[in-house]
Amino acid sequence: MKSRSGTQASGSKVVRGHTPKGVGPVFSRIASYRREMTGQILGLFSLWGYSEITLPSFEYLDSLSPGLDPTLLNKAYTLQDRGSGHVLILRPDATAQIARLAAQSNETDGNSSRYSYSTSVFRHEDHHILEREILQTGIELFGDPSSQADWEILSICLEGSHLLGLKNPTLVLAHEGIQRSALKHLCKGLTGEAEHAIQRAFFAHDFRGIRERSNARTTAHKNLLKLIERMLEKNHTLTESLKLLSDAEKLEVSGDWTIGVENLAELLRLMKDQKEKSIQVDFALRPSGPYYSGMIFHIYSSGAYQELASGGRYDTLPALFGKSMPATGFAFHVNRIESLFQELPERGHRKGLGVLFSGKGKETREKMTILAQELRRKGIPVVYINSKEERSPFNISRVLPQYPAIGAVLQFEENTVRLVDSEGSIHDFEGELPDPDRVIKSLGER
Amino acid sequence: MALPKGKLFDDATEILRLGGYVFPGLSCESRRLTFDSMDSSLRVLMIRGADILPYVEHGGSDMGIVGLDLILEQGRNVLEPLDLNIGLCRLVVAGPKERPGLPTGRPLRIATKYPKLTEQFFLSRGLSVEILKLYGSLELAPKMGMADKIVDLVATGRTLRENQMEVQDEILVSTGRMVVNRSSWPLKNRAIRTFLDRILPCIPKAPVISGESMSRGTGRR
Repeated sequence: MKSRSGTQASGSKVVRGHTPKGVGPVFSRIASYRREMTGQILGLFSLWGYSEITLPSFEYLDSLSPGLDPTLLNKAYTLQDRGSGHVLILRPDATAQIARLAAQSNETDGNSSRYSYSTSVFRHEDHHILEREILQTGIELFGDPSSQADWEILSICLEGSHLLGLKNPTLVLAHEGIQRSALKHLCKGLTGEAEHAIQRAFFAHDFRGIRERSNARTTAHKNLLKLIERMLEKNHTLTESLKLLSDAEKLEVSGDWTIGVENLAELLRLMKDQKEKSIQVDFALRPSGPYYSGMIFHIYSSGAYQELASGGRYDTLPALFGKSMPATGFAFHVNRIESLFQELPERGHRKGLGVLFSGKGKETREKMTILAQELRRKGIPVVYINSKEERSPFNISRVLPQYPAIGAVLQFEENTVRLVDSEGSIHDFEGELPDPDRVIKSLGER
Repeated sequence: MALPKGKLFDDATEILRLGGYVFPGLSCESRRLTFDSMDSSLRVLMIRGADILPYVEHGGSDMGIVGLDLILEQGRNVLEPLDLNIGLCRLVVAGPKERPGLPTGRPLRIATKYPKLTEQFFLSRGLSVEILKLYGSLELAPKMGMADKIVDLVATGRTLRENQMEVQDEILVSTGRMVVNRSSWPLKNRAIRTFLDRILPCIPKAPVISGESMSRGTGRR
């Protein structure tokens, strides 16, 4: 049987096409959670002075590619602009896009500017990664090179993690400048293959592998190797890290090393003042992209097998879009956070009310609309049910299981409104509309 | 911890035993898939070698033992803090002794379980290759005319010799590695470090081939 619209009637199901892997719809509970969560986080960002921007979904490839991680560029979806024939790119990363906008904006001249966003990024991923549309909610702070700005980013990230109810959020910090200068020093004079092997061992946290492959001849080289072994052997508390950094300051590695060590030590002192216990330093934390140039960090939480937020300082990125300016920021990976809360009970629709449309007359429909409006004004959801269950007495026990958010049913007839409450009791209202408060009372605590 | 059922199993369990982790009834032949250590500090999951990395990457297991060959082939995002020096083998290019050269007029055809590493290796030498992904008995492919060469793991080279093949190039040397989920590393850092410190003295000082006695002439770290 076909309905008037020509679609197949319920009872037989024809599957036409599939959703691509790595993307998918989100249904009621998760959709509401996503909206609430991003709303809360954007609200927090706003309280710290960040103004929201909405980014275009696609841009010209040539405009964005200078600042994109080559790995991301390989994963990006591209398409041809029908009008100009130019190649368009579906944004694979929000940071590069915002950096480009900031670099080309006059607002950032000499001032620090703060932007927040909540947006999807699109990436082609290999078969074992299940995310191709990734929702990121984050902030970017431009124009402030100080450790205070990095402290601000970390503080907002931690505050947001608590706000989201993440279980035991743990902030793990590192510094890209320290990593880069240490590896450069260790790899001095080595072949490309040996250099690659040492870099791999470093980010794998295999300090024995570094020791075996490095060609330590000088005392300075040997001292650096010893310090790196101490750095990589475990994750460190703030106090332990400050001690390591104090030892690192004494080593003569390079100018970048000294700057990185001082910079991270200053940031850790600021974080220490905050008395936040859930901060660790992992000196070999791998940066999420090649544009990071200072502190980098991830947020982990119990129950999650990957980071839930990541960010850091990326001073070199805006220059790739034409303006050199300091930049720092982070993003929450919303899809990953959602997946932690799959088992949460329904939020939002705590109580509900079903109104059964049974009367066909104009007068009946008017009455129903008036009552529904009054109830909605009081925050009670009202759902119209075009049910086959039109005959009295109305069997609530057969309808309610189909509508878990509904607590009572109102059945409109010519001169009577029948209320079936959450207990299944029937109350008839002859010739008058029931008082909305009376109806709300009948919803019970389902 | 995810423990591989294959060639690394015996050496891996020996390291655990020497480190004081005793698992009653633990055997490669057992149908049970999980075993708890007697001191209840460690649970092992019995998993096929190729599945260790997905288990660790997706948090099914905090740690796992797996060969470097699979780590590089699968490109998973895991930490790899310890080389266990077990299951020594080489990933090599091998071909029939009587046909050592390259084919003419068509791309080289390679049979392998490692398509990614194979393609990378030949591309880095400027050679475009056709990859035939197989799951076992690779030595048969050149014999049956399906491939010119194979890329496979070799420990002693006996199987190649018995099939009239020879090693023509080496892609990498592989040993068993301890891999760790990147979220478990910060969240369970102390427990993981304690575990690694316990097994560290039990690791052979030099890489050993599977099946060879780990203590024979190699010493310990």
